[in-house]
Amino acid sequence: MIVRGRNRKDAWWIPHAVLGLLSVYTLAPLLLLFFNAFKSNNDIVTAPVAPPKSLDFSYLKNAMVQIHFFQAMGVTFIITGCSLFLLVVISSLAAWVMVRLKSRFSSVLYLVFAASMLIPFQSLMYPLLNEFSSLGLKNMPGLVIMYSGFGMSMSVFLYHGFIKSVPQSLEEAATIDGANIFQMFFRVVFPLLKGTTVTVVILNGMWIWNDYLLPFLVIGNSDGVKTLTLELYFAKLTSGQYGNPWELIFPAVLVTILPILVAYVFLQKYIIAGVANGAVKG
Amino acid sequence: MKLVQKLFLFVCAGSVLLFAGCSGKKTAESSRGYDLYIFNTKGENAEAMKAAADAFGREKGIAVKVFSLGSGTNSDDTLRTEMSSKNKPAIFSVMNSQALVEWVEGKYAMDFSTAKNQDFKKLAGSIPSSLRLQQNGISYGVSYNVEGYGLIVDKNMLADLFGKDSVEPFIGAFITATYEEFEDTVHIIQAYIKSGTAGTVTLSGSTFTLAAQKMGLAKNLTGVFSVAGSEKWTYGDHLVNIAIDTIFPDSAAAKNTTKQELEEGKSSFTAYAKALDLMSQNATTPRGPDLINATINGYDQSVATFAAGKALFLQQGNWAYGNIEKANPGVVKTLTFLPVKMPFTQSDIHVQGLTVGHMNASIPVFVPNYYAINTKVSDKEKELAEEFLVWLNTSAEGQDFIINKMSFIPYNADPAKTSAGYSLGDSIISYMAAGKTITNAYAGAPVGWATENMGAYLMENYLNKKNWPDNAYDDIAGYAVSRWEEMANIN
Amino acid sequence: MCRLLLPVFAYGEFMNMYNKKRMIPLALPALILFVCVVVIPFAIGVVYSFTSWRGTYFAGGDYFWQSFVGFENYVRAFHTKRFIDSLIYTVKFTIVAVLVITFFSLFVSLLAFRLKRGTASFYRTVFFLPNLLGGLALGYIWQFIFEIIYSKILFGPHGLISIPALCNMTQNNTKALFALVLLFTWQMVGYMMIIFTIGLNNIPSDMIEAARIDGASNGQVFAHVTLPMLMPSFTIVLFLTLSKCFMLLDQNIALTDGNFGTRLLATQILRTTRDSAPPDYGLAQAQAVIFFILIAAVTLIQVSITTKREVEI
Repeated sequence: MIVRGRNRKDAWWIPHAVLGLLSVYTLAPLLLLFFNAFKSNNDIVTAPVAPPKSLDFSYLKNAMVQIHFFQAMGVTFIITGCSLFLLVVISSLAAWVMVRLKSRFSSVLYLVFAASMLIPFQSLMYPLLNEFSSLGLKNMPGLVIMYSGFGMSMSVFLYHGFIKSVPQSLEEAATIDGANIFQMFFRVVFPLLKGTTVTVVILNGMWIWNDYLLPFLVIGNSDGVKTLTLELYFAKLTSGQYGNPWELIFPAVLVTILPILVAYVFLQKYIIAGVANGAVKG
Repeated sequence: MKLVQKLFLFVCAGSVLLFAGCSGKKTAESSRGYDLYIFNTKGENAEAMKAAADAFGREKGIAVKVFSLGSGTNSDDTLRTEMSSKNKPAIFSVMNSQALVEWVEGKYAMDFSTAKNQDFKKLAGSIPSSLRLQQNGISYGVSYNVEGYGLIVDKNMLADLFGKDSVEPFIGAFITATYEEFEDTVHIIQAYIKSGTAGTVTLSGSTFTLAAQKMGLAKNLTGVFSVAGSEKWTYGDHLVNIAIDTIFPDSAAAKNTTKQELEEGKSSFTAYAKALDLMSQNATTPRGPDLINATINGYDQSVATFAAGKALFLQQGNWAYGNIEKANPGVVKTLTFLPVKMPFTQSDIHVQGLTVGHMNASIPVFVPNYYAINTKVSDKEKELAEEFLVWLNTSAEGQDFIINKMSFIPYNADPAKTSAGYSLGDSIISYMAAGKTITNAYAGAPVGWATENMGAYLMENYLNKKNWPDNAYDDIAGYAVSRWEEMANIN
Repeated sequence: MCRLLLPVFAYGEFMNMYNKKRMIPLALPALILFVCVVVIPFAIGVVYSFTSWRGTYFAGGDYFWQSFVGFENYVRAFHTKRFIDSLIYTVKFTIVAVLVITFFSLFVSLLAFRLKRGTASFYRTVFFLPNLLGGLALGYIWQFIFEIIYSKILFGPHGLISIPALCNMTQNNTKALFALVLLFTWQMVGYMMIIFTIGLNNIPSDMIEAARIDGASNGQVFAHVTLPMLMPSFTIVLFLTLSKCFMLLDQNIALTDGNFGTRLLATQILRTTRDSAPPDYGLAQAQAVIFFILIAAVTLIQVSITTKREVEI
């Protein structure tokens, strides 16, 4: 105890100094993003690092209009939400089954799931699209299914890793109390996996929100609504054959990442919730 | 357990559907919602194309679906996915004869001689041979438009350099000048920019005097050329194309070249290297790491540099008009093209009937993209596709869409009667009217030879170095030829 | 504690057998989805790698069995200089990046863990932000950082301190590797930090207390309690980092576009179809399969090593 106390007092500022420096380094590029969201194309191209001469919100407004921000955000939100919901439920269940049923099959399955994270997307892009097209699923529901399928491997992997830290005694206690399988899982095990669930939600949510290739291939050419990244992609179209409309891209990117940022800040507290340490006592 | 049972049933049903769908390619006559599907990968005209398609649709009483993608995007995969799906586009875009190969081999591209619509057959037959998309003599594509590139220059800048009355004479004299005169002019102007030493330039025998004091726009000049050093395609595609035009009459000939023809053409590549040396030495950024730095000399930056009046010439095409306008609207109205010159001698030229004079006075005008028709759609759709292309290219309404809404120069424009409506477009038309055009033979080079090989080689070995070794020209020419031979498997 | 164990074990076994039948259906939806979305397309893709597939048709016939070429695509892949070069470059990059990212994210997680909740959350958010950025904007910003801020303002000949090694990093094969490591570390630290934080949270504090009471120093606590208990997190972090580095694509294109020989493997596979007319999808598929086998082998070895060291409560 004396050892701990001494460490705490002397070096309290070290973590802050180090983390602070690293934070500045981390935030600097994002500051550039922020700066350039308020500049004209010419200013961005000739002086990317300079702060904007004035906080010209017209670029943000223009970007939001051009990418049909609220509509696209709604679409992206629905797709991401549905995919995440499916993902969380299905992969947590599967991981739990695999951890509890210690058989050759489940370890092989675990490795298969893990290995599938390594498959480069291009190698299955065409067969996948052909398959879904012939199933009539080359649309939004199909997109949700694809996301759930692709995110499954990482999510199962993550859940598998952390379910091992949930003591089996809890489940056994629940069974004794007369719970069926569903209640056992969702009322006892699942709440203890809050941290992992939040991780799964954040990590998958992020790439689904920012992903453009899958939406582009699946729903890109339909006249219907588009996701945020798709909208930006198509808004770039009319800027000419070469060159990029930076005065549209930077503000659009800024507004696109804001929702996830908000979600992340909000979900932060769940990351800290770990296994209830008091549950297992010797 | 009810939930589990329900889940199980759902899953079983799903699997059954899956296997059924996969095994039987039942193409149900589903309501697709359209009668004609156009896949357009020259998407700068997206809105105008949609409007044109809608106008056509209204006339015919059909629904037309247009899907557009920008030229810069990698549209190949999307197009291929669509081609393998149930709903294939009836009209799709093919960029050049190299891109055509897969569509002919896969039996997608329609041979125009098999077209049913007589007007369409006439249209296809009337395309001048230099603007055709063909393989083995069979025509597969209708041009979108023509584009051109050269040295873009602002007449107002010329006025401030040489005096207002000298502008038109200067332009005329420049076009007919020799490479040596061009080279001297560049050096003199560069010296003027750097140290203010006034002098006179001689072009086609006439002399033009630089203003004793730098005035107006000329004060902003920091170099003769604005070179987009990090954009490999500007020198790896467009600039080298001019050299290739002296070796082959068109891209089809380039595609079928023999080793001997290439070796004979090596001297043209040497001339190209000299021209590149001249241009990169007299750019706004000194040759070196900065020249290939994407944030100093990327496409957008090179356009901005030119638009701000820091450079006299920008080697680009009429597609840059929009970019220049966005950077500096005040400068676009007085732009014009001047030819890019290279030190060719008559012995370098292997194309029948082509002269050094013509090469020096012309700008490349070519077709950047073609409409092709898909054989694998229904006959009705093919008919509609043919009618659409006829309507677009021959009716007054269609031409209005092309010229005014899409801002394209129609391939079949009568140069005497057509006006593009903007400075660079009209400049191209004037070259077409005078017959001073060359083509885009480089499109027949092996896929990837131009940008990814030539461009990359130059960027990584030459443009980033201030001084070139003595054997630089030979090395560049040697690489161009040997790499082409390697990639085309003609050893 | 021990006196309760025996009956618990026996009971556990009984529960295991009892629930087995009921538990399997729960994993079915995952399996079916997975098979449909990943396994079937991949299997088809592998089959195609043995044919001369061109993306929209098969050279040699209407159906894929008419255009089998055996292992020809694989042989050709290994003879393609660009493929081998990108493979070597990817391996080099992965080794450096995995070490750097794992070290930094662990370091930062440990530092932040000792702080108050609010501050720790703040830092976690800050480090997480880079991961939100992707695509064009990211590429432009980082190109700018390396080509202007590093090369001119900070480390150039006229900058704050002249460090040639940090100038023009995108124009040189070796330097670009480190530039990519810098970029990717910047992006990934926050991501891995989450995983380490959860792992750290899952270490029962009474274990640490017990160790300290027994007289262990900070170093010993770390080496003998924290690290072993963090093994599950290491498994995950190493696996994710390994796979992400090996498969890196967008950032590679955004930063250097593969110039100066900086093409990573994923970029190479992507560009293969653009290197010839007609596009050689069969070759690209073969490369992708080789790619998959390589990385699967490496990561599975890694997973089995670190899993063996995991401690279960």
